[in-house]
Amino acid sequence: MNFPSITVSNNVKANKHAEHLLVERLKHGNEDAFVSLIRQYRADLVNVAYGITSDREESQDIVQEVFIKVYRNIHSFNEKSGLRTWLYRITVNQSLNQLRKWKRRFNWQHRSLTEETSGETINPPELGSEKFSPSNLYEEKEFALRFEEQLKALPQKTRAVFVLRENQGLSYDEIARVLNIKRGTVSSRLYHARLKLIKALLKGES
Amino acid sequence: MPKSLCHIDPIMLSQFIDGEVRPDEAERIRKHLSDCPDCRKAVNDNQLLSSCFKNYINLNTSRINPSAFETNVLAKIDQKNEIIRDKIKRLLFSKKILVPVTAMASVVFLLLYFSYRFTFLNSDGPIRRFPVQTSVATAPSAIIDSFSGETTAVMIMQTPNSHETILWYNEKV
Amino acid sequence: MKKFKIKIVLTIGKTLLLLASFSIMMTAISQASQFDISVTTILASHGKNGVDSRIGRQIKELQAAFRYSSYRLVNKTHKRLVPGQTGKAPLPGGRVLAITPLGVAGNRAKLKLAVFKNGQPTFQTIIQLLNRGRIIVGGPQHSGGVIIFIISNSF
Repeated sequence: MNFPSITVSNNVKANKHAEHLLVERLKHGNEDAFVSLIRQYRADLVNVAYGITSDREESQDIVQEVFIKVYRNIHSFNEKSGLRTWLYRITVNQSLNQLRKWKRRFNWQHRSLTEETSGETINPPELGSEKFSPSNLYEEKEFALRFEEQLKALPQKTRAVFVLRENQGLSYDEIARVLNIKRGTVSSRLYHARLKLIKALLKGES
Repeated sequence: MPKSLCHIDPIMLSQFIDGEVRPDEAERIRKHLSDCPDCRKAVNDNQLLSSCFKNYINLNTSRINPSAFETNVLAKIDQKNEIIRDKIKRLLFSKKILVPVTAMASVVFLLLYFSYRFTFLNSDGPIRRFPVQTSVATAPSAIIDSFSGETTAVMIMQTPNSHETILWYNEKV
Repeated sequence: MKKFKIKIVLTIGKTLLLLASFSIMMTAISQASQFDISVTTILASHGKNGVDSRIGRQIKELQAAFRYSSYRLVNKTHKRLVPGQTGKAPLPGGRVLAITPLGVAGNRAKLKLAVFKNGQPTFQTIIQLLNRGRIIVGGPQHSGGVIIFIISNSF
């Protein structure tokens, strides 16, 4: 049973080497390398930003800024932390900063979803029931709205932990490194996020 | 069976879902799950929540156009490089540097000119005129000096290409 | 004593220079002229009406910045004002926009804008608008959309 672990270890080494080469090319100002960096990480970083901000345009802007920061600061990148970790860290910080910035202003981006459902009472479907199938549910704007509301009600830092775990599949140790927090904090934030989301979805209250 | 004995610590159950418990503990929880419908439901709820969240993110971000995104990033970098070049230009041509440099250059030029004239020519030589360079910055169409009123928030932005100022305010209801 | 004299001469020189620049600035600001001011009022919403063909060109760049699907022209107002004179443009929802040119600073017109709703002031601002420039002001809610008014000026 050693074979799979050897393969994994070889893959990890190959990935590390490829990452090192990419970073070297980036440090030399190679534009192709920069484009391939965007292609490799864009979707993941946009997902992370979206998980925190719940705003598609904002997430795109945030991740564009992340890549510009990377382009400018690649020389200061310490390869020990890992490129992916570094990118996640910048994205999370940028997203949290953006949210602070917007909080001081106001929500000028009007969502049609809100307008269409305003004034209606939305009864959330029951978890575990037939109706509660992720693929069906997300075709229902009402449920999407409720889910988004509950998600937005979570503290920003908790959302960051939740998206890194649930969407990006990072381990507790990786999340702790990205956010510079303790492993125990990762675990408790995840537990509370799940508890709140499930409770809210079950009872229809935040 | 008393409730405290029946159920797994919820934080540990959350860690189990994430594959973050020791193998022996994972085994113990797995055994417990086969006997306990409540804990099984808790695990199922968490898995459904996880799928919901993934769907929520994917549905909302999958419509982003990758090539437009790429073009935007590269254009922004070009634009920022241009701004930096412009800043350097403005610094070089700012009064703080331009005035002493021009003064020094004029003194040096006059010294050279007169020494050349009096030493070799003793006649009028041609005088060249140097064009003055100016840098034009892309300024916003409007500068907001002040604002006040019954508003909950005010935001100042500008359009990306023509740098037209946008002043957005939220009326207090 | 010699140092003191030099100091006095320098101080007088600096004062003269300051006075000269101040008077130049004042002349620039108080250059009394006429201001041609236009206000285009638009109602933006998430409706299905699309973009009003009369304002298509004017809001081209706005469409990228905002997420509205419908832009309808409400009205257009043009005023020729002298400094200190107030011109009024009607806005939807019992609102009025009052514009008062205050003067010229360099190549910009100094304008005071005030929005009134049912006679009560809701928002005031003082701006310096480029000659032949535009400012886009928006935000007030009206019948399921928002009011956007584009102010352009030339002097």
